[in-house]
Amino acid sequence: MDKKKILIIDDEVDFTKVVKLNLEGTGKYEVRAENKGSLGLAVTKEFKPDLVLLDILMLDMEGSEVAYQLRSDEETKNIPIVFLTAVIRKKEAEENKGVIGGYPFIAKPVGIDELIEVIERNIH
Amino acid sequence: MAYDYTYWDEMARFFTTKDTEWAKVNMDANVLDTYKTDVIWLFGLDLSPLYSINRDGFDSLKEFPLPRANIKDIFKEERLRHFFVNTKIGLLEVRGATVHPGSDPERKTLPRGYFLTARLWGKEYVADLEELIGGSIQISNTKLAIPSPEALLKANSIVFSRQLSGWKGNVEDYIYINILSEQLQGYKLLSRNAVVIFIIFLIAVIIFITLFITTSVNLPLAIISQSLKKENPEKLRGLEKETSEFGDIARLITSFFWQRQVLLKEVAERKKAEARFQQVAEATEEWIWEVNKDGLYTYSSPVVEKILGYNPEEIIGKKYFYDFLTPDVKESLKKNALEVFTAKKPFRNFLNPNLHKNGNIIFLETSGSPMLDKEGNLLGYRGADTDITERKKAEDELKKAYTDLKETQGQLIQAEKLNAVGQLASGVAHEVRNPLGIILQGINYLEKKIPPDKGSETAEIMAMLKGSVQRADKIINALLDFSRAANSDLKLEDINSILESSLNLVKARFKFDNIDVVTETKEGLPMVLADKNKLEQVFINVLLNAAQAMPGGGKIIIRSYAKELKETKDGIGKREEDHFRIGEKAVIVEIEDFGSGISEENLKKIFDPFFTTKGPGSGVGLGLSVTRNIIHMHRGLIYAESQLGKGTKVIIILKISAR
Repeated sequence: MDKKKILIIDDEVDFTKVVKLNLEGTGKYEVRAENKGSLGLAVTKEFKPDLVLLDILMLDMEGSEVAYQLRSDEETKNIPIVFLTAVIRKKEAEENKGVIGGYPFIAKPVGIDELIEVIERNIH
Repeated sequence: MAYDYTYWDEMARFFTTKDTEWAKVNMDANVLDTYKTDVIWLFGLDLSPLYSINRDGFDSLKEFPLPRANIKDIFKEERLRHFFVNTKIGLLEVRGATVHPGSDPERKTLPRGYFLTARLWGKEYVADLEELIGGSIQISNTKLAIPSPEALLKANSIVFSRQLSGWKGNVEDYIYINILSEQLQGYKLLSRNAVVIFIIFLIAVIIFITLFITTSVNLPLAIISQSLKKENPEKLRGLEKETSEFGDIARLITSFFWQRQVLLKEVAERKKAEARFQQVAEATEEWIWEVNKDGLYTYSSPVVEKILGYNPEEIIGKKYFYDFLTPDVKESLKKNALEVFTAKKPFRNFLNPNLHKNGNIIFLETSGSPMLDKEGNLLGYRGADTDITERKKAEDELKKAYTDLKETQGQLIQAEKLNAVGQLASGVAHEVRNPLGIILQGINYLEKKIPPDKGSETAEIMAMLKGSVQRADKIINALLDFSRAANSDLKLEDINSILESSLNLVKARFKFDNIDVVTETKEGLPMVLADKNKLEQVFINVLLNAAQAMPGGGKIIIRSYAKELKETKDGIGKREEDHFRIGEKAVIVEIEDFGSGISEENLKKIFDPFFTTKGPGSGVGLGLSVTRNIIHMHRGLIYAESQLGKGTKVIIILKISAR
């Protein structure tokens, strides 16, 4: 079975690095990390991921803006997006059944098992 | 003669010598003529007749007309005698004396003999006498009637009589002398003139006295009366200089006028002052009054009617100051006021509620001063009342506005703080959670890369690291809870069951062995609209705080009951922002511990975010502020009452569901 391609866009370099290692360590995913929101669309087009893990609060471009760009582009509009954020509490994410503003949600800090579960739930 | 001849040494010697020749020489007819006497008798001490001589033709008088034996008796009492004797030839006037030497003029020695001489009151002698006196003389041995004075006066005659005494003092004869005198007519005239003169004199005196009285009494009196009548002291100027009593009176009157003027002026001024006072008292908004020492009104300005609805006639002499006080304060204020009366102290701006005639409450501000007599005894009080009902209302409103403002300010500050905390919480959450995320992922990576044996130290360390991440995340969650208390799930809940589940949760998770929890919950309390989880969080928080206040163990009492709120306090009142109305029924939860307590100063701050007394590491201090946020989210109230060293009671008031 082909590895699923996961793109993680987060300006926390260390976070993307360790998440990439953990996901790839499962042997099920091919992960690409991108630390600049502004490059999100371009990288998505190039990498063609099966799912995008998108941070909300980034310095150069907000996650919501990246999501908008992805949804606005024919090439990328159908790629599932899961928001990853430190701003919203885990509990809130749970209470809203993991969906805020129509997008699935993961509150940081998140363990790898939980992350995989959310990815699997949302990937086509 | 009887005198001259009887204290003569030669005469005295004669009684020894009985020298008749010497007698003849010295007592001859010439001597009788000289002394106008008719006869002289000399008798010795033994009454023997030693010598006698008589005028020619009076030989019958040679013998002494009385028995000789009587001579001794004649001179027994007196040594000089004068008496009458009736004889055959007529009335005889006799004079006699005892004879003594010249060296004994007072005739004290034994007499040497007796000397007697007599004159016959014959017709001749009487005629001589009548000629001498110019009237008629009548000798009678009986008492004759004397004509009436009128008759005598008419006849121009003067009649008087005299008794002629014998040697024993007996009446020998009466002599009547009638002087028919033309002179009497003259005297009569003279007397009449004298009367006239006297009358004239009298009239003159009367006129003089009248004049005197007029000038020195009536005139001044007239001046005085005029001056008194016209009330003009100027008229008295002349009189004042006099030293008489009128001068004194005039000065007195002038001084009286002066005093009167001063008094009048004073009275006028007083009247003016009184009028001024009256005017002021009537014009001023202040109620001016006077009470006696018992507090009974003796004066009241008319303003009182505007203030209390009673007119002065209804008050003066009828009402006591305490009659107007509202019944709730009447006795205590009366007592206080009478104590002030006893101390005779003045008082200022004393606030007291009174009842208007129409039943409204009027707030008066009373000031008064004691009125004392000269001895310092209290007569009463005088003072003024100001109606400050409106002012008090305005003040109360102002006070309320101030409290409201203060509260609003407090709320604004609170909101500001919350806002700040909210922002901080978001910031902290982001900044802390990202590294937490990295750590957690890092641990996951390590677990995979170097899988530790179960029960090994590495596994333990890994679990510890994960636990720490969870703990840190929990704090972040509490922070975010605080900043976003909203978004709760309100349902009808039974407060007792929430209390029970909270207590169970606490007991399950924390060390509560040494805490004796007593529940005094009322059954069948009304349901409350609440977020069960959040209320549990509140109760757990409070219970944990209570337990922490008693590190050595102790007792916690949990109470629940419903009651009507009667007291106005923070959050209970009539304002829009108050969570509860006065009289509203609510469910109350009390959690009381008997631990260390909280100081008054700290008690104010315990609901502030980040306030803690527990020291570093024990907690972040968000507990009670989150607790309050949750309670406020329920439109409830939370208070704490505490006494240092005795314990703390947290009171939570929750709304009863209308549903």
